[in-house]
Amino acid sequence: VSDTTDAPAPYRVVYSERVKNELKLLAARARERGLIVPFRAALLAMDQRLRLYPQFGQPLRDLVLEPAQLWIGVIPPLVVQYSLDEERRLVMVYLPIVPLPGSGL
Amino acid sequence: MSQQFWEMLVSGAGAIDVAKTSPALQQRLRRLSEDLAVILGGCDALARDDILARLCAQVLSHIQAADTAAREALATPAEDRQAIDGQPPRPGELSPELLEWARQQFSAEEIVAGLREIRSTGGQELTDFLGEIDKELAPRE
Repeated sequence: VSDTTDAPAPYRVVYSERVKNELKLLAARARERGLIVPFRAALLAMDQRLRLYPQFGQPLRDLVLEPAQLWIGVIPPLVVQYSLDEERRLVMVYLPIVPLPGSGL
Repeated sequence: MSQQFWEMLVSGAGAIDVAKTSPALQQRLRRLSEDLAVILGGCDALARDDILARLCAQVLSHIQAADTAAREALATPAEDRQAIDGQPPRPGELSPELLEWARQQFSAEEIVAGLREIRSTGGQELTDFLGEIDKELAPRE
């Protein structure tokens, strides 16, 4: 019996400067609305999911000028759109993460 | 007092050896202990012990709430498990209305510009800026 596991290497998840700045604004809004815990939990869970299994979302649109697809993933109260580079096992988040409509955020 | 608290953290025989954690975490813990020392500096010993005990309970309660929320968010839907097991994933369950709303959030030009920007800069991982997010989340006085 082998001790080794067949778990694939996780993806690397990177965020753009714009996404970081918008997340800070969203965090401030979460604080003001008393949603600190769900916001932080969703952010960490989203990052973990993107690292382990970015296909948890679903394709949203094909990009015309780039050989890539835009995906969408929802972890309430957050919605993330991202691109996958399977060859480099890279997830790129370059569009601001936005609140899920009706989530109160 | 903050030095005592820090030494207790570093040399404690708990499950986590703080001395082996990242320098950034060590720095944040040290700052936290210094802030606590300032806040509790004016209290008598009994009040200080009482406040520290209540604080520990509150911190543990926050962690428990965050863990529960994360576990719920991470619960793997049936279609994900099926995909991990080698079966083709079933279509997601996002509503057409939500997908349409999401498509309207950003223009094609915005998407391409963002993709090119992150490819050229390389981007940052969440752990690189989680501290900045936590600062925004920290309650204001």
